[in-house]
Amino acid sequence: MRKFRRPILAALAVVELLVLLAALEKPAYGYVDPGSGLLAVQVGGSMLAGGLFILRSKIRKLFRMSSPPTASKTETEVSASSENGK
Amino acid sequence: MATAERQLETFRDPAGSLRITGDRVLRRVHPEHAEHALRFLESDLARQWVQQGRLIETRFLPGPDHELTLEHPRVFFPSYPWEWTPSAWMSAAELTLDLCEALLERGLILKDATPLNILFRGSQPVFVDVLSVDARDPESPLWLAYGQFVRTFLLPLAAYKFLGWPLSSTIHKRDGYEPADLAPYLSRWQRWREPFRSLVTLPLMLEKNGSQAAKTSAKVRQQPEVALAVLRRNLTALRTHLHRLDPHQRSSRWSSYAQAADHYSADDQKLKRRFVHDALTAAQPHHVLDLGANSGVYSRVAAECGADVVGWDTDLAATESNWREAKQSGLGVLPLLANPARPTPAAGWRNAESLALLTRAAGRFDCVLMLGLIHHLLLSEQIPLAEIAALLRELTTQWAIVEWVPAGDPRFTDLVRGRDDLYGHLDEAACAAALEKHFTIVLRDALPNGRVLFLLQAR
Repeated sequence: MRKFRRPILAALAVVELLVLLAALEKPAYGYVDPGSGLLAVQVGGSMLAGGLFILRSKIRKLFRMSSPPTASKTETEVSASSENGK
Repeated sequence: MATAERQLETFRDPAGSLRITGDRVLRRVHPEHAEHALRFLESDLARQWVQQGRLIETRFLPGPDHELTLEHPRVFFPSYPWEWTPSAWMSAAELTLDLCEALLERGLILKDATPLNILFRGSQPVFVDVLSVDARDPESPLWLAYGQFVRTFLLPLAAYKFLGWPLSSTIHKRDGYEPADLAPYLSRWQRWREPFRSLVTLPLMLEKNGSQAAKTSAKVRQQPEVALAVLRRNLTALRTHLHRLDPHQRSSRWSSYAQAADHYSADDQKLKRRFVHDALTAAQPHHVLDLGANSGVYSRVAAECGADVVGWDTDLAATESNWREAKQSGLGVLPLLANPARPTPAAGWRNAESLALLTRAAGRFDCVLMLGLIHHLLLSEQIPLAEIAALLRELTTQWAIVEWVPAGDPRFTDLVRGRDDLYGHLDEAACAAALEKHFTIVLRDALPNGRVLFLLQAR
């Protein structure tokens, strides 16, 4: 078994290399949609921007949730001072 | 017959087609594909854009059931992107993004984005393809015309600015450049720097089978407010790229010609300007064509006399300077990169989608200026005087103002380059004889530097 180990490893390496090459192979240019690259850039950018937008609004919401006591205090203060002014 | 002789009715847009009959511009609409464009045309936004001169005026014409025709006024002189200066391109691109952004709020969007949707009145871009407006999918953050905007606006401008490719070569590229067209000409450094990283390198790396890309894009769905914010961000990103492509003003041997013309003393220039002004005041033309307009000194004199002016010149830097002056002054001057000796040909399907330069000019101008040009046509282009006079007659319906440059003039001598036997005998009398076959000389003035100015009226 030991004596087949090297050729098997070599064969596996070749197969791996072929799989890698096949994965990296670019289709013939004539059959590629040239617009697809720009579309992919827009799709990627849009998904990223969408994610950031949602994250940002969640963070804002979080801050707003933690800030209401201050807000209500201010409101109370305002109403109290306006009542004092009457 | 393989080719058509006149401009074809447009045929690419399923929402409708446009045909030009004489001075009437009629757009046949297929209402089932144009519902949203029609809604837009009746909106306050459209009215506001028309008032600002940024959208073409539209009149609804009644027709039989299920048929609708729109009529637009004819833009005085239609020009094509391959005749525009770089700043005119920038201005057209800005207008496209402005309109797209304004439409988003109203649940609409532009379904295509090409310079061919825009014409110019003076230096003011006007959006003319009103059927480009379509409904926006509220949950999609993608602008389907994004790729077309990049191909038809940004890549030609980037190729011009960084690679020196002339914008005039876009006549051969109806749908602009692909990222792969530019990639081989970029250095490694350029490939990974903006704007090429986003416009060329990444798109090329991500190019896949078309149907797969289309399927992926259909799956991208977001909440309406997120989709709207992302769309706005995409338009802002395109605008940032566009501003990076703002071309530097380059100098050329013609760009400061008016200031550096050593064969013209200040007095000569004053006298020439006065003659042109007086001739224009006498002729009172409405539409002036300035041949060899250079940086537009006399185009602006004509515009100040109340005419709509189109200037043709072959020098990019001088024409760009003319365009910037026109924009700044607000005068009705449209400077184009065009050459009467090698006019822009007809282009497109059957050579009939866009008209040749001289076909567009025929019968449109009641006055043509040919100042400081005749010796270039005669000596550099080797056009005989009789031919020059015949072209002049074809281009004007009534008036022409011509400057004759005598054989002793330093600029004439520069261009003769040892061919005195062929051209040395040409004098004012030979010029006048050629012109008088088609025109009557109404005014004549000889400047102290020997040049002669004529006001001509067509016979």
